[in-house]
Amino acid sequence: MKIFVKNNIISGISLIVTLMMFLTSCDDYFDVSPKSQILTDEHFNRESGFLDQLTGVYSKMSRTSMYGRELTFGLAEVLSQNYDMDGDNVYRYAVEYDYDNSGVQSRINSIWSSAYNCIANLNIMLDYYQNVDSAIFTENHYNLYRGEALGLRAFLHFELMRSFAASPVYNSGALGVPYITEYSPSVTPQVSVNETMDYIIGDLQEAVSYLESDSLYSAESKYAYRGERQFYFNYYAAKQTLARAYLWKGDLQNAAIVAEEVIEDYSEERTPPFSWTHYTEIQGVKNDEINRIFSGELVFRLNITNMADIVDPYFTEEAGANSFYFTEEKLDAYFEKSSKGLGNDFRSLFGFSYDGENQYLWKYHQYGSFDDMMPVIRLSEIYYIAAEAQKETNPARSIELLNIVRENRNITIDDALPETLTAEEIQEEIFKEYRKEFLGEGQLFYYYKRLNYSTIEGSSVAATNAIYVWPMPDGEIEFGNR
Amino acid sequence: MFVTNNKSSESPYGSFGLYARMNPYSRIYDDNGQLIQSYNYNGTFEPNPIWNTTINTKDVSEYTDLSNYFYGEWKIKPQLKLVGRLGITAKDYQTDIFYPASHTNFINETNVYQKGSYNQTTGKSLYTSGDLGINYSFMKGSHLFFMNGQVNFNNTKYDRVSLSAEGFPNDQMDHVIFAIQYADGGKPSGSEGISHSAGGLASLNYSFDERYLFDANYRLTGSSEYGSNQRWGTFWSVGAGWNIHKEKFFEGSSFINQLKLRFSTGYTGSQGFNTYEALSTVRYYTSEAYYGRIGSYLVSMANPNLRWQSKYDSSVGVDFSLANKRVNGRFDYYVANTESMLTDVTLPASTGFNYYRANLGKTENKGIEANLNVRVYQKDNNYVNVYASAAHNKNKLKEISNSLQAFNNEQDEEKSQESSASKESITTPSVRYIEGESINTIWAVKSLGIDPQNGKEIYMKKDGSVTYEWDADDQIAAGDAMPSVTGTFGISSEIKNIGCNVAFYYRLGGQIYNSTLVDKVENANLAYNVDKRVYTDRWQKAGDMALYKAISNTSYTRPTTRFVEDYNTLTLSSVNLYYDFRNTSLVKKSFLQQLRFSVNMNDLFVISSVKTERGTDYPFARNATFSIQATF
Repeated sequence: MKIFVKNNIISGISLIVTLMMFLTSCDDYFDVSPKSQILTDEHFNRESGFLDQLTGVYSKMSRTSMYGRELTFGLAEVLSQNYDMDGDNVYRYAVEYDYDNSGVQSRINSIWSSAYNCIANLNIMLDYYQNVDSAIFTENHYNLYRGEALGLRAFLHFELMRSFAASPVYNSGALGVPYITEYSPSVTPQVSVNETMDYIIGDLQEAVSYLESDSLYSAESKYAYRGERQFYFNYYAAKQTLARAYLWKGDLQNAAIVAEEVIEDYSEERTPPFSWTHYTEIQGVKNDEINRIFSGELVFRLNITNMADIVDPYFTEEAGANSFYFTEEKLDAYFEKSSKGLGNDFRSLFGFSYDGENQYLWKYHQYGSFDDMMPVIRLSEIYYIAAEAQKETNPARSIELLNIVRENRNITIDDALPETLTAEEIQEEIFKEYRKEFLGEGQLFYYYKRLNYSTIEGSSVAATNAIYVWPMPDGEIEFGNR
Repeated sequence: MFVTNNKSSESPYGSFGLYARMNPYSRIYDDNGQLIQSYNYNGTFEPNPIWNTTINTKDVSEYTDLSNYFYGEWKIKPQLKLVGRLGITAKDYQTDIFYPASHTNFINETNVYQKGSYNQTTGKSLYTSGDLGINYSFMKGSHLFFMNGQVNFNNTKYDRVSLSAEGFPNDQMDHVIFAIQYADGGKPSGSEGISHSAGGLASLNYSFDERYLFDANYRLTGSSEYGSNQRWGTFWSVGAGWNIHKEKFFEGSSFINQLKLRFSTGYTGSQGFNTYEALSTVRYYTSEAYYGRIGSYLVSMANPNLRWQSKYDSSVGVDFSLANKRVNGRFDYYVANTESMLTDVTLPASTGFNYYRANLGKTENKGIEANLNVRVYQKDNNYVNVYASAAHNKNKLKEISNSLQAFNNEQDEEKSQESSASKESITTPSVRYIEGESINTIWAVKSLGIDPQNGKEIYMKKDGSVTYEWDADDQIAAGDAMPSVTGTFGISSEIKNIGCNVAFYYRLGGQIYNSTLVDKVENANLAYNVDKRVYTDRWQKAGDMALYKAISNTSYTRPTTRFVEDYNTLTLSSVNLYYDFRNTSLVKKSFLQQLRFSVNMNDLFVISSVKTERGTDYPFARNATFSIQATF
């Protein structure tokens, strides 16, 4: 009797044990799949998951808080003092460099958080790249998406460095921005500006090697897709960012090497992937026949679907208090119209609309096949980088490079820069070029900062790090112990 | 199996509060005897809520509930039993809220396409659960064992979709399909979720000679809601008891019938957060595309290490029964520590996100509970019982996360604003999370009263200086909303078939922030009908020794100690009287088996140290219920 009972206990207990083991082993029972959200484990099991994740990052970059406005024609350009504006413009505090103003602060904070959110979205994708089976990818996509993700991660960090850290010329030992390489809640410590730039350069070099499969570079069968590749962080976008990064860091030798490699690729005999804007493209009568944005020169451009809604409140007469405009005198000086007679520059001729009093920048009023394009990286910049990097070592080449750009902008050979220019004069010409070429594109402020100019033309405030280094968000300082 | 169908409609009259705030001089009818729809108050229109009863509106909720429970028991041996249960509950529901263009909600809307609204919500949920248990007990001599083992599972699934449409010119077209358009910027919204959990438990009870009792419990629970690294939570508890009255030295005592000491300690788990926070997931953008493709993005910073929030409970207690079981009582002392609380931890934005969920934070609850029940009189079926209970609890935040500090700052900032979308966020004291303080602390700035010179409130700063400026940094712990003691007491009796039960509720100690007083007198909008104290008790001219700030001062009154009041109450919570016809000739001689008349009244009165209005949305009501119970 007693034995029988014991047997029963044992069978009862073993039943429970079996059931528990069943539940323990069956962890899948807990892996439920929500409909409105997709587990990353499933998302990155397919090629489309990787593509969609990249697309999401481009989407976010296209928002007004980033390249849709603030990092192009908005905040970044306002800080360069290029625009004239009324006293009650929404950017009136920004133009005074009042970074404590809550409106300016919220723009700055949202650039920081948006960029890092993009980086987190790239990092999770790159994490999955560590173990993904490359067989799930078609064509060249394994390398392409990986290169784009790495390139964008470096590019976005570099943009943050340009805004939130000291320029290397000023202090390369100062702390840079945190360089985040994993999707994790742990706080990444900052390292020096120089070391951070090395991370950026490292990622860009890796990106370039993956992107060698890009049809823009290989230029063989997929020529038809070239225009499309301009909307993604392609091979040349990565390579030009690399040259830009060397220049920022002050490594002129490598900047020159990379820039010259790119320019070599663009030489006539190699079917260049980008082409200078021909006068026939801009002399049309109908709006949709005028290529004001010089679309074929955009090495990396973002697709802004509601471009008109975004730019109309700033670049028209009707914009009222918020409009950005230029006085006749200012444009005359920028383009050296009366001083040197360079008024036939395409950028001047076709870039503005005159309402009888002020000039409005017209490159963002886009129509037809030139619509919805926000320039992020331009072809001309690689010539400027190469010129600047060689101004001491090979001034003749520098002048030649600048003249290539000027010639393509309709500045005749008679007005070409003479070969006698000194390094200093070359730099001054590069400055003028940045101002004309990237007008309304948010590059000039970083030019001032890179070379640590003590004044920014048009501002009475002394240009120090108080202006050049944007404050990190309060939350970042408090919770990241910055 | 049960099938329940329920349909409820809201009254078209709207809340009583809408009527209470109307100015008494506003006319209901115009000169032609027509109902007036709205009144013009300096350009904005104020509704006449009674108007809405003359038009067709709809506010209907309906649900169908289907549930089935299965229970099986198998006695394998007299001491060995297998028990299984399986339950399914499915629910379908729909809510329709319709206001036509003529409804007073739209009197200030000019766009005819946006006049009239229809909100429809449909949803369904499915809940299944089951368990299988085995019990075994055996006795040998003075040893008694009882063992219990169980495995169980729970599945929950829900799905809710709601949509809003607008533009309903005619009040008879009360179906969503007659809408002119979707609500401005609106699209279908809703939520959906699924969770699975399963677990097992084992327990062992042992008693020796009915004198010494021990028990041990072990529980294992797994849930899809927890991090993939921490799917399982394990909890244990042990307890012991000593029946002192069974000891030899007590045997034969006629006065003490029961005296038992109890002790227990252990962990109990709890859960409660969004189903997918532990998992990294992506979503697709719903309104943005990039170059003809829709992109995906990470939803949050997942925390795969998220684990069960655990609560560690310890308690000691005593049960006693004296004097022929006429006096019964129990007393408990407990300490409950909640550890690894699930809270948001603020992250630096460089991680890509603003916060993530983590196990951080501790709270402590300590308290005592006591019950006493005395049978004062008993003879045959007649008895009189008196009873009383008291409870005291003290709450303390021992450790909080950085996000709660950030939350405090945010609230302070909000309080310092001139105006805000929600007035309450400025005028009512906020819950502040401060280590070492209770979560129930009332935070307010020390007030020295109203300056008779100018009708401004004088505040005392933390450094002792005085100021007219309210500053969030000067907030002090002005009171504790938790009472020192709460409890009930009362009588239950039946004498000669007449029953009488009276129950009181009391609270002693602690404070309350008299929000109704602030809102009705100081923060009142003078455009509406207001409390008369606005005109009688507020400061009007120099020299007025007023309780309330200047009538001309329309700024919001922020939390001030002026409105923190000691809060003691006594409530007659229920009275029940009945006459039972048991053993009467009426029942004995008729076909009736039982007959009882009773009357039941709730919340008869409240005596309180604080005068408060209980709100006009649900005005205070005294209810009496009469009932007759008869069994044939």
